[in-house]
Amino acid sequence: MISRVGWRSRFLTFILILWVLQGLGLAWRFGPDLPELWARIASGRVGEVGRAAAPFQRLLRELEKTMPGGAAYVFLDHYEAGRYIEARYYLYPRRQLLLRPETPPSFLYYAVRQHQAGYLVAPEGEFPSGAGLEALARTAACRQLHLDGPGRIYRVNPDRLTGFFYD
Amino acid sequence: MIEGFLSAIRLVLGLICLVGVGYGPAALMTAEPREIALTERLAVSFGIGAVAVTLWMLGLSSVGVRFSLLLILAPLLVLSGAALGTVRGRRAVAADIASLGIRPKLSFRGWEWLWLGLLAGLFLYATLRAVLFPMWAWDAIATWGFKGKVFYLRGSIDFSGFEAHNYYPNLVPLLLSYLYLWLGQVNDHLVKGLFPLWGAMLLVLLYRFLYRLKLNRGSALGLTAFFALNGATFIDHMIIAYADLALAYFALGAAGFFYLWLWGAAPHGSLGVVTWFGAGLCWCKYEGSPLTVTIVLAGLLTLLWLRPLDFRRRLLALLYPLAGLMLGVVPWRLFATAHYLEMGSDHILHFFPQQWWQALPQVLLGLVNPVHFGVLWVAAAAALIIAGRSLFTTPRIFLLLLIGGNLLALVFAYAVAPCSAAEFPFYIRGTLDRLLLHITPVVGLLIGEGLKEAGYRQETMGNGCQGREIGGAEKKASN
Repeated sequence: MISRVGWRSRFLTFILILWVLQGLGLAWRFGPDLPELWARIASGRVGEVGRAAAPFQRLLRELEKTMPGGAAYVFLDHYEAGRYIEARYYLYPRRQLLLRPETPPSFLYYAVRQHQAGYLVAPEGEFPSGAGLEALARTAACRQLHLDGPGRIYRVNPDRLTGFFYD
Repeated sequence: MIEGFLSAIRLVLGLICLVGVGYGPAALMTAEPREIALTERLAVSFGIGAVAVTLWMLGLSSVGVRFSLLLILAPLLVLSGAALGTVRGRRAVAADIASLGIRPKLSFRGWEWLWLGLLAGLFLYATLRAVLFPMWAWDAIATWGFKGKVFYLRGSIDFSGFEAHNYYPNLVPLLLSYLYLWLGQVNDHLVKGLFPLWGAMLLVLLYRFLYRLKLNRGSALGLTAFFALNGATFIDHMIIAYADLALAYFALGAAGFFYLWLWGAAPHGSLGVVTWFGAGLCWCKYEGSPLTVTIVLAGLLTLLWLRPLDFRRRLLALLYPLAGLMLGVVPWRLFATAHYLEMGSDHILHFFPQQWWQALPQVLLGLVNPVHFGVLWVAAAAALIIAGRSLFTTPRIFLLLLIGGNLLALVFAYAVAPCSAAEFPFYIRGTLDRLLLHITPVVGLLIGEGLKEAGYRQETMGNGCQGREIGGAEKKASN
């Protein structure tokens, strides 16, 4: 018959074995980070977006370098996609105006002029861009910036949008 | 390179000042020599400093004063210095300086070296992983880190122009803003060094609590490593800049010191620390207030059950966590009311029974999911079995009530969450690990009690930091 102390001791040993086994799982999960950490220290690439990060975050980081701090931008996406939150974080203090991709030209023109939005960001997504963006992109007030990433970025001159666009 | 080095020095200076703000009150409250170790006092000072600095920043914003390091730190450091100038403060400082003068004896044994090595490795990994990468995790960029950036750039708590759960408490965002003020810029990778430090402070508290509970040093160290390296949740939260790690730290501090007080093993003045940590709980996340209430309820039920000799006097001690609740909730509520911020109330509108029955097995499965917490909760179940009848005849029942009550509250919270049937399983999957993290360090104390019962207790009273004699609760219980 196993004594009370012996029973406890075996039980603890069993839990320790389980702990060591799950520790192998931790090593499996976090171990692959180590070469990247070492590479960053060695090359001084401190604070860069990780390789595993969404390419959209990289695009926003690039855009952050070109867009002035006081600028406003239209972000064409669905609220539910949540990408506007990433843009809001990386591009702050630039003012964000979130509109749906299917926004009609009349309202898009109005919004750009009303808020003096100098940029327009249209991330790639499951929804095609609507008539508003298609119309705006054809005007002389709008010029596409060629930044690599899953989305289209436009430089907009609100003063050149003369308006008078009716649906 | 030099700029990065200078930024790191600035960050360290900011953290030292934060601890300095908390050190005065901590020394004033826990002044008895040899009752509290320097590491424990520093871990407590960090929490008190975080609460004091951020509440003061809230005060500055309330009266329309823009943030500056001088305005934030000067009054608080003067107050902290004044606390150190009192007789009690001077006694505490003298004891801490004396402890620094003693050359530490490297008398660790084999296993203890292993535990220390594992903890040091974890801290090194988490620090590098945190500071070498920018903020990327969802809640960090959606809420905590975003607000930290906004408050720093606007110089005040200003929500105009955005909606990012504006009614959430702001301890973590304001602390990030404070560190940005030290850095002189938004540096969202270096500032994440705060979180590994927070995790380390949590581990220091856990180790000290276990030691106070009379586990021997090796077992206390081993159990601390067992907690830290069990599942990925704790490690992840040392990296991703969420408020949940802060909440877990304050929960451990508030519940741990209260539990030690029930045993009579807490240093004098610990209940004051419970007040500060209770305030931190409520001021860093919405879930903190119900957690503080469960500490009070568990304490009340424990006292009612055990009926210690000085029952009425002990009952008054519940006012300390309640005072923390008020300190953590009222200032923010006043600010929100004055600024017409809409407080989130959507979580208390309906009770959905089908969600209750869906959440119950999910929460139980979450406890044994090795990815979340490894075998920690399995060990807690084992500790319950080992502790046996003593669970109901000693203050250990407090841990049982607190943990059980919080698990029940968690299932209830899921049952009242406004969520579509299709999204509900994803909602649980996305939030369960972090919600369990809040209470998990307290589970470490329960496992410690089990280990003690299994024979891993101290043979003597230790190094003199053990505290006072066992209080009335245990005396009554042992009768």
